[in-house]
Amino acid sequence: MKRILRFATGLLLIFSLATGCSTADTPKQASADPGGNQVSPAADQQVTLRFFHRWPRDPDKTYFEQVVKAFEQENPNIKIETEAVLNDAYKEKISVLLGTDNPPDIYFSWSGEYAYKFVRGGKALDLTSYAQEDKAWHDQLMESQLVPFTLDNKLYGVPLTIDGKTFFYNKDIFAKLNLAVPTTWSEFLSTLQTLKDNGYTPITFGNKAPWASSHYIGTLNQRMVDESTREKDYNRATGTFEDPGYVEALKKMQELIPYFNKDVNGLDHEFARQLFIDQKAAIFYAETAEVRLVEPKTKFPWGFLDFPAIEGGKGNPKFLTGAPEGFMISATTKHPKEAVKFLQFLTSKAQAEKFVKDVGKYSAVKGAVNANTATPLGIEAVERVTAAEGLALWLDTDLDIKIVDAYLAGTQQMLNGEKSPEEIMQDVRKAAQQVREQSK
Amino acid sequence: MFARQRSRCGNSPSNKVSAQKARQWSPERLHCLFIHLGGNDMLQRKYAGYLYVLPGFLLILLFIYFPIVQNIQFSLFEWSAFSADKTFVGLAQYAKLFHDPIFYQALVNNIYYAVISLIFQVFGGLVLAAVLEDKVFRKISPLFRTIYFTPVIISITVIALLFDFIYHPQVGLLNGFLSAIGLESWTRAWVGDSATAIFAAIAVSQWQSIGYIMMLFIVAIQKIPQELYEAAEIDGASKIRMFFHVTVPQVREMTFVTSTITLAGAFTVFNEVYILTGGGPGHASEVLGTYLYQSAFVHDQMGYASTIANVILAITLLISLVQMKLSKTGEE
Amino acid sequence: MQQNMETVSQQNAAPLLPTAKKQRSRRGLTWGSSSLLVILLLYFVAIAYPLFWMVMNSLKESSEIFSDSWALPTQWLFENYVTAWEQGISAYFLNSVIVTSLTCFLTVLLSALGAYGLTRFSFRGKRLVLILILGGLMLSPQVSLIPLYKLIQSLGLFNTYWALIIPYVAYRLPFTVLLIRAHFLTIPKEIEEAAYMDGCSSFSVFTRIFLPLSTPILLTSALLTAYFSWNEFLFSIIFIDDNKLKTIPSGLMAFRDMLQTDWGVLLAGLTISALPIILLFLFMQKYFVRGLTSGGIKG
Repeated sequence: MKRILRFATGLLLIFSLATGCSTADTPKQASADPGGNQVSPAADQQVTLRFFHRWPRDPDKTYFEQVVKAFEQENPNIKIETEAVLNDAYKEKISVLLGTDNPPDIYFSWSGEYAYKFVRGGKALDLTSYAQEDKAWHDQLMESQLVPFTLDNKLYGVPLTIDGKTFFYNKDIFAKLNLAVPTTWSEFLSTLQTLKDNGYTPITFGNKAPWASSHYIGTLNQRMVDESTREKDYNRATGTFEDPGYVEALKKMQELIPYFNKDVNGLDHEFARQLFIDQKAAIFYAETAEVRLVEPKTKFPWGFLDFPAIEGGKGNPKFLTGAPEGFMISATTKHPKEAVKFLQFLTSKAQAEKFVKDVGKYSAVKGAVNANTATPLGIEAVERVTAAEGLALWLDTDLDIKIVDAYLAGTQQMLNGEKSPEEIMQDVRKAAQQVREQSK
Repeated sequence: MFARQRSRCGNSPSNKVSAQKARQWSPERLHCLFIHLGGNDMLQRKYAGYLYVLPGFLLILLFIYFPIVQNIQFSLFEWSAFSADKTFVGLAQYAKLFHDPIFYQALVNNIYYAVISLIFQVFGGLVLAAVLEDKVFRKISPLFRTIYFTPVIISITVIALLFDFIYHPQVGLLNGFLSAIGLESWTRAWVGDSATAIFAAIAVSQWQSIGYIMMLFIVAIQKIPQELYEAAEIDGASKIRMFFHVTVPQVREMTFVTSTITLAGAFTVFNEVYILTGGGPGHASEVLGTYLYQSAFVHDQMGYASTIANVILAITLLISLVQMKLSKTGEE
Repeated sequence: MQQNMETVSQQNAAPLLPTAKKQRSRRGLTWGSSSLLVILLLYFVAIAYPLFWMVMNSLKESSEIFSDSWALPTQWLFENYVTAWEQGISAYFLNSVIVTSLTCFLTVLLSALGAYGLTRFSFRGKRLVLILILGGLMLSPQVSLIPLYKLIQSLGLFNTYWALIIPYVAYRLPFTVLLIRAHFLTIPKEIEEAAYMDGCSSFSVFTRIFLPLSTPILLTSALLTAYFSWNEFLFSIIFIDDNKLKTIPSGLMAFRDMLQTDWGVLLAGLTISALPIILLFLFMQKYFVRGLTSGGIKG
């Protein structure tokens, strides 16, 4: 008996490796190829789609759970497995996942360069033919929001939200100090000075996660540099960032430093938002998507304040910083039809209205933001985004990540008083040169 | 019983046939090999040695050494995680790395990490262990030992997230404490300030790990024969003298072990820095670990990340070689 | 010996008692020991207070943490704990327990076998094997991150518990083999030779002599392995992407992102993650320390 036992233990030891792998293999195959065979899927065959987005928080989380459920009910042969991680973690995770042999079928993407990177890597399915097939669906999406998902006249993504950046300001404080809404940079600075003189924190700003500063830089670049030059520089093949406007833009940001709260690099954006809500700061540079996070909690009247026109700036002051966000489909998906079907369901008018109402973000579907689904502030926010003469995309997703990194790391140091705008631009130019060489 | 087994599978001439049959990898052969474990004969024990070592060793080969080799290959290419084609660039990535100021920044931060960790963990941990093992503190030492060791068992994520609150510039414990004792001017955004960010992360490491190293030294000190102290005491040696002349030499081996752990930890640190500062502000608190991670999964420069990994590898190997030369571990 | 120490410490409680011969050193010791005590106490506070602070603030509403994080909660919000538990900490906890216990078991088993093979047998290439195992001690997981990421995928382990367990075991093996080997070297050859004389096989020498004689060091190995796998962060954020499989370290990151500024609940989550392990340790500590100590006396 003992001998048998010993023998069995020995076997177990020797094959522990092999068994370890083979047991683990089974679930993998199950998840990798849920259909279980390679034959083209019949209509009634069970299909599983993996859906990866970046909103693990409520209300978004619940909304997506409901959409998935509704879609599965309508299409009993399709099952959707959802996964969600937040922002920065998402950026890292999606790179990791798209590098695997088994990427998610449908995944979230920012627009602009961020999306183009996936297109160039052959990770995004060309959706042009699907859009042509279902013209009605395609036409109800805002034309302008499709552009940042289009490369070489081919559509690679479906926009879900529209979003723009604008200042939120505390109307109480402005009224108390008799301040008018500033429209130019110099008026803006003197307004900030008055606020400061009266003991308020003029602008609340949390840059611990440095994407926050990219929104300032993006807007300032757009204001200071003329359109065609900026377009050339933001293109990875031709970007040189030689224009003096870029240095000027950073200098403008430097001018704001005295009016930010203390410790900008030590506070995160959420905390900065809290300072605005708690009336500890008068102005907050925020996305329209944040209206839903601010409005229910504020006990004071507040409104929007356009980023002021800058004297001497060569960019169009009627532009807005913002970008659509949406979804792309993996180029290697086994079930492109089903995946497209889900996106069409997600961006149908009915779902879009529910999205606006439940989540409080603004849909890229025409007419989804209306009196039934949004607050007056929300409707005003959307009007501002759609009325803009053009969009300057988020800097951190519009440029190559190496250039973004040079910008953001440099700006954090500039905010700490350790780096000058000129020095930052030197780093940016160096990074741009690398990117140019790479894109050859 | 054992004799019978041996005759069935072993060397006795009558068993040649079955031995040949067993040459194929069959359960029977396995069985025989296992019974060989019982053999006293050196030839047989050769196989047995392999069998005992094999499962673990294969795992080490596949998951530790194979990736190391592959990593060297990876570093010679420029490639992206989500693109199949790799461009061979030779040693260009290394050339680029050695001209990369961020790399040097990270390296300097790792060196800070190493030096501070050696002082606080190895030296501090040894002193703490010696003090707690001293007769004077016999009574209270179990309680202190327990508390000092507590952070060790708490997940580093918990600790780093907790310190995120402690370092918070406006509502954090640290700034609150400094203000309370009248050191208002010392308050700062600890993780947002380039001058302090890396030290804030290092401090968290010390807070967590001193107890661990201390515990290892306590074990080592308890192994020291009591007579040595008694002899020293009779000679009228002071406590400090005893520490340096009895304790320190006696725990020499453990010192090597703990220094190795600490140094290797310092050059591969990732968690605290990633959670607390993400390498920022700018790249002020970048360490090699975070830079590697960023290069791979944020910048999508897989080849460059592999290059950084190889530099970490070279540094840690160097440390280990020095340690191995100095200590006797791995000899006897 | 234990008794001897007791007596000594009693003597020290009344330091003026001892004989004249030792008086000089005793007086210095009293002065020195009291200042040492102050340092010990300060360090005690530095460790204990942040943990106490965490628990205290985990019972507050966020706005109360913002306004005064030092005060005791005005209202003890135990709901924070319920919320945190329901929001996912329970699952992360279970995952951590599964991953950690499997890792410990496999690591200690394979290490003990390996150490036995290395200390009690001679075979061709043993020195190389030993060097490679010891070398593995210096090879940190970060270094191999990218190839491992590829390897885990091609083995089909990605996004399973095994994606963590197997690399954890592999990376813990060198250290535990070293640790156990060092102990096995101290076990006198005579014991096993006697056993062989009695006709024991090497495997039964291993299970009947080596393992029982090494219980303390095996426990230590298991605890050190548990410490590693409970804390491991880098692999767990990369090799697992399903929220349902996340262990505490990576799960807490997702938890924080989910909660935004709901600090009370986040701190409650941190406390839940830490507390049971602290309790377990307090409970196990006697065993652990006694194990270490008895191992020490034997050595």
